[in-house]
This record gives sequence, structure tokens and C-alpha cells, in this order.
Amino acid sequence: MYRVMIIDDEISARNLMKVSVDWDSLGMQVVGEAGSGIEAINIIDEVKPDIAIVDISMPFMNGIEFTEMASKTYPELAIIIMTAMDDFEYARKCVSLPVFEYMLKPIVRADVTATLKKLKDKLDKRRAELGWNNKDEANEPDMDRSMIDKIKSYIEKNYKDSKINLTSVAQRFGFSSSYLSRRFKQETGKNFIEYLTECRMERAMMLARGNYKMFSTSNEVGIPDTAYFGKCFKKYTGMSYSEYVLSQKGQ
Amino acid sequence: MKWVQKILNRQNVSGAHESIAVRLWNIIALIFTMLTAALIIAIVMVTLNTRKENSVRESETIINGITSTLRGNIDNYKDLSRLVMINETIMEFLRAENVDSGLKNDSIYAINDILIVCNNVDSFFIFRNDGDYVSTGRGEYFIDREMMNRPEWLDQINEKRGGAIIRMNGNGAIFRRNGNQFITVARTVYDIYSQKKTGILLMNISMHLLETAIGENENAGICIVSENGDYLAGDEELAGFFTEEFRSGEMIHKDNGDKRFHMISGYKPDELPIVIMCRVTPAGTSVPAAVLVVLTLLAVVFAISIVLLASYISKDINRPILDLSEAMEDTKKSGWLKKIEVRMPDNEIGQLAVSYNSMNEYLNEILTRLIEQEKTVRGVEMRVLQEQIKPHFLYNSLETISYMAYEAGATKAFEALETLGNFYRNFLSKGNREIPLKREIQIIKDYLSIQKLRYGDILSDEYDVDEAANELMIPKLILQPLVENSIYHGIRPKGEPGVIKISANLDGDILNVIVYDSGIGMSEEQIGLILEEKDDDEDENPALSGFGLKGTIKRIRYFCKDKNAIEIFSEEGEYTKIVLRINTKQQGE
Repeated sequence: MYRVMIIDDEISARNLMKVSVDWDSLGMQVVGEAGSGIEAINIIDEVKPDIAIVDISMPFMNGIEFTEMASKTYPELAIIIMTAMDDFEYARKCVSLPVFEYMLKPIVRADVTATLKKLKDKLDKRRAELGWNNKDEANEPDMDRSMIDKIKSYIEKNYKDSKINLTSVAQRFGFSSSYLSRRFKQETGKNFIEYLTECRMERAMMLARGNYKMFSTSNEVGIPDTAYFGKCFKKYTGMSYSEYVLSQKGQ
Repeated sequence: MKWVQKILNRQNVSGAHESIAVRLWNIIALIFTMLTAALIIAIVMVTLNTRKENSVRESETIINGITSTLRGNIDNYKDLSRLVMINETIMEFLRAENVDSGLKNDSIYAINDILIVCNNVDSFFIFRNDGDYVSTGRGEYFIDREMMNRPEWLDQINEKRGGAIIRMNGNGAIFRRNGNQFITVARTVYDIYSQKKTGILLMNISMHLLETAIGENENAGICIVSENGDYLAGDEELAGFFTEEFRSGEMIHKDNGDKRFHMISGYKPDELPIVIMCRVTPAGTSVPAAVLVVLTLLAVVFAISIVLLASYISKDINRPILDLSEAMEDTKKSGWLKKIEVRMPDNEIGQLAVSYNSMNEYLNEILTRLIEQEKTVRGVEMRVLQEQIKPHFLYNSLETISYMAYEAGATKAFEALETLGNFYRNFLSKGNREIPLKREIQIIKDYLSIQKLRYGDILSDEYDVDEAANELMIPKLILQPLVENSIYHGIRPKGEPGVIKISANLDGDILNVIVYDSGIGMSEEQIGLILEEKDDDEDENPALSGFGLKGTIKRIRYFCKDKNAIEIFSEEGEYTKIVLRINTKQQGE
């Protein structure tokens, strides 16, 4: 089973993709979806996809930017770019990226199925060559308490950068993401992504109290995708941004 | 010089195309004719002039010869007469108071003795002062006494005081019975001793003298006449040409039209009562060889010059111009503004070729620029057309509606929407202007499957495409408008079930694509209208323009660079068959 993540700002497009393709027979499973590149970056470490199907035109972070970032951070991720022919200029930029396939919009089942089949064959072949690649964590440098502190302060300084996530930070400090994730949880009692979100949300709450509009706050804290920001904010505070702003005014 | 103009303009008059070569040859021919004529005239004039000079010279020689011969002879006769004059017996006869017959006879004897030495003295008369006379001579003579005694005649003789005067026929006083003419030497006789005038003597010389003088020049027509023009000796025919001018004392030469008497000269020697006439025949004169040689040489040089000029014109002007125009013609036929490669002389004509080439270059540049502009304009038009539809909106809407249909379990609607999406994706996509045939066929299939949703009861489709033809590139969207046309102008108006059949096969390099429909067909006139090559078609036939059929035909022709790349066969009420022949080897753009 290959894990598939669909990244598209159109919810009906994501839905259509999910329902109209016979994933099982392809040996694939849709394990996650994201409404923007921003959201994708934040959840990709949890979703852990083998294949990402990315719409090229999305707000906040378009398919190209996401692909640039993802192909650096996740070298083994297979990326399929979806485009209408109009986005030819975008598509041309992709030529320099290690994109696996292009898919034309609007979605036509036959085309999508054919493309995915081709990709599956490629991935099968690669896996056969490399074998199941389990990272040997024993060889990694020891991550002591001070290193965790260092990473924490890095997050506190850089959470405004919408492109950081577990894997990119792990790469930066020379660890594997799973090792960092495990050690971080051991040392701080929190998931890495929970800590990153906490930093962002604390800052957001502060800004909300200062009567900042949501879109500028979301930009300020590194989640420019307001829809996703709203989701995170609600999850963290229990109320929506506007409710929170109102509640703070009452006090 | 109207005729010159006529020759020069001959080609124009006939209205035909006039080449420089022909005109040049006309001019050369004209020059040649004129110069030849001038040369001939010159030769004739020189000949005539020379002939005249020769004739004059000849005449002078002849006449002067005869004159001097005659003078010499007549001088002899004068001397002879002097001998008679101083003869004793004669003097006696003249002095005597009374003359008897004896004395007369003695006198005659004395005269005869003296005159015996010469033949031509015809007769001799000696008159005494009293009028008595003796005479001797052959034949019979008559004396006109009255004439003889005319005072003016006697005065003429006496004026000479013993010298001789020469007159014809004793100045009219003596004539012969047989009518022969003669020349008379007359003089006064003076007595030697008393120096008194004692008488007059007349010595008559026969015409034989003249004949003898002429005789040496028998061949040249010579004639001697009296002062009055009476024939005396020589060529009698010539006497008829006598005129009074000849008496002037100068030698006169007169041109005469007559062939044999082309020039007649006449001269009256001083003191002689005769006129010597002479003619010169043309045969007797000729142009000097040197003159002829010079003139011939001139003619030859002239002819050579003409030939050289002609060959120069032909080689250095005519030929290059023809080559040039041929090369230009080739260029024209080739349909491209090519440079002329023919070698040209390094002169004005070469310059012409160079100018032509550089003009071509310039025109090519302009054409290229125009074509580029045209392409740009077309590209812009296309883009404008395509941008009128916002694909993103369309696609997203289609996807949303598709999902809704799926959710609602409307499978047919879902499938139809998917087909529509596929159709529009191919239909609206930019990028390649040429696509594989199989993709165009897919567009048609999608298109027809949607149309069948609407007209499923009357519309069916069939496909027969060669495997080999599938991958060949054709301009995008050249078949779809034809199929669209088949539905709206073929099958739908007919109202009966109809079929649209697409077939394609490869015949060598030619890809044949046939769009057939069993619709209402077209009339010959309609086909003509559709196929006619006009640019302003858009508004002319609104029934056709809406479906871009003509535009499609234009694109096909443009792509194939062949106006016969599309053909339409039809039978009204039965079918329409549109055949495209696309040469896959020479695809443009």
C-alpha cells in the first residue's frame, strides 16, 4: 500500500479525486489531504505520504513552492502535479524539479488511473532496488538535553517561517525526523508539531488581544493560510479567532 | 523623314511586343542602308566627276591636236599662195595694161607649177584690179561677181595689207557646181616693186584637208562644221549637236543626256571659219583604280564595323539582358524572391542584377516582417478567443458538479460531466498547435458522445482510423468544426437518424482524413461558396460563418500550403463527404 496525500484548495476536487479513483486496485490509499501547501507542511510529518498529488494553483503557497520545499525535505516523496494547460508557465518551472508526473485538470478517471499506474510501477521498482529502508538510528549522534533546548529556542525564533516542520528542523540539526520526534517527546512531554503550534498560537493570542485582524496575525505567526490558521486556533483555544477577539474585548 | 520614323516604329505600329534587340537591329539596318546609299552616291559622283574631267581632257587633246594640224597645214597653204603672189608671170599678168589670152595661159601654167606639189588645192583665182581674172582648178566653179565685189568683203581682204584671211567658199562669192564646200585663203597682192595693190588672190582648199586632219583621230567622234553649223567633215551625226555657243572662241564642253554623246565639246579656232566638235563616249573613260580601291576598302571597313557593333550588341547587351530577364522569370516561377545567380558582366547590366538582388533582399525582409506580424496577430486573436473562457472557473465548476452528481448517485450525469471536462480540456488547452491525429479523434469522440446525449435518437458515429495514421501530427481542431458542421447543417435539419463516420488512412506520404455524414448534403453552389478563396467571407454568409467552417478550411489550406487539400463531395438529400489530403512530409510552420 502506498500512502497518498491530496493537496488542493478545492474541496470538491479533493473529494472527487478520493471517490472517483479505485485506489484499492491500484494498491494505494488516500491517507490525508490538505487545503493548502501551508497545511500540508504542517501535517505531512504525521501523514507520512509516499505520494503527494499537488494542484499547481493554490493561494498562500502554490504547488511549485510546495514542491520545491518538499522535494528538498522529503527526497523520497513522489510528487504529481495537477495543472490546467493554462498553467503552462508553472509547469515549465517544474521541469527543474524532481516531479514525477503531470496530470491535466479537470480530473478524468481514465487519465488519473493511467498516471498513477505508471507511478506505482516506478515506485515498485525503486523499492525493489533499495529494499525497505529503515534508518539506523543507532548511528545517529546523541541528542542530549542541551540540544533539545537549542532546538526549542530555534523554534521560538523561527516559527514565523511557514516552511519549518519536524523534518526540516531535524535535517537542519542533523537528525532523522523520527529520532527527533521521539527524543523531543521524551524531553518535553509534547510532540514537536504541538510545541511549534503552541508557540504560534500563544503569539497569535497575544496579537488577537492587540486587536490584530486574523489575516495579519496568521501571516505574523507563519500560517498564512487563514483557513488552516483558523482551524489550528480553534483547536488550541476552543474558540474561533473572532470569538476570541470579542471575548478579550469584554474583559 | 517620315519613313525613318516608320522603320523605327515598325514594331509599335504592329502593336506587338517590341524588344530592344529588334529595335537595335532595325536601327543598324537603317544605318547600314543609309551608309551604303551614301557610299554608292559617293562612288557615282566621283566616277562621274572623274569621267567628266577625263572627257574634258580628252576632248581638249583631240581638238587642240586637230587645230594645230589644221593651222600648220593652212600656214603651208598661205606660204604657197605667197609663192604665187611673187611669181614673175603672175605679177606680169597683174601689171599689164592689156591682157591677152597668152598671158593668161602663162599665168595658169605658172600657178599650176607652183601648186603641183600639193593635192588639196581645189582651185585658184587671181583677180586684177580691173576685175579680169585667171583661175585654175578641178571641176566647175561659178563666180558671183556681185558677191565678189562687195565692198565689205574687199575691205576685209585689204585690211590685212597683204596678209591672208580664211573664209568659207570665198566668203560666198564662189561655189562649186557639185556643191562641195571649200576653204578659201584670200589676200591682196601688192607689186613687189611699186608696192601698189595689183589684185586679189583666192586659194580654195578642199575639205580633204579637214578629213586628213581628222583622220588620225578617226575613233573619237569628231566633226568639223562651218561657223554656221554646216557639215564639213568627219562624223556627220555629230553636226546635229552644233550650237552657236561653240563659236565663242573658247573651248566649250556640253553635257548631253545621250549615252553615246554624253559630252560634246566644240571650239572655233581663231581666224579659221570652222568649228571643231568632238564627243567622248562613256566607254572611253574609267574611274581610276585607286579611287575604287579606297572606296572598296571603306566599304569593307564599314561592313566589319557593323558586324562588330552587331556582335557587341548581341554579346554584351542583348545576351546579358536576356539572361537577366530569364533569371528573373525563373525567380518569379519559383514563387520565391531568390537572388539571381547568373554571372553578369561587370557593367550597367551587372549593376541591374545587383540592384535587383538587393531589392529582392529588401522585399524578403519586408515579407518576413509582415509574415511575423501576421503570425503575431493571429496568435493574439487566438489567445483573445481562448481567454474569453476562463478555464479555471469552468474546470472547478465541472469538478464540483461532478462530485455532486456522484454523491447523488447520478452516474450518467457524472460520466457526461467527465466527458465534457475532457473535451474542454483538449479543446481549450493552449500549447501545441499540432497534435497527433488520435488526440483530435478523441476530441471528436468526446464531442460526439456529449452531442449524442442531446441527439442520441438520430445521431450515431463510426470510426475507421488506420493504426499508422494515429500518431501523425495535424493542426489542432481541424476536424471538430467539420463534425460540428455535419451535425448542425447535415443531420439535424434532415430529422432522420444519421451517421457521422470518421475515417483516416495513410497513402504514401498523404494522410487522407474523411468526414462523412448522411445528412441533407449540399448543392454545388453551396460547395463553391464554402470552398471559394475569399478573405472577407466572415460576413457574407452568416449561415456558415457561425461554425467556423470557412475559417477551418483556411487553416487547412494554410497548413498544407495547397488549396486543393480539402475537397467536398455531396449529393443533396443523401450525404456530404469532406476529404482532407495532408502531405505529412512537407508540413509547415
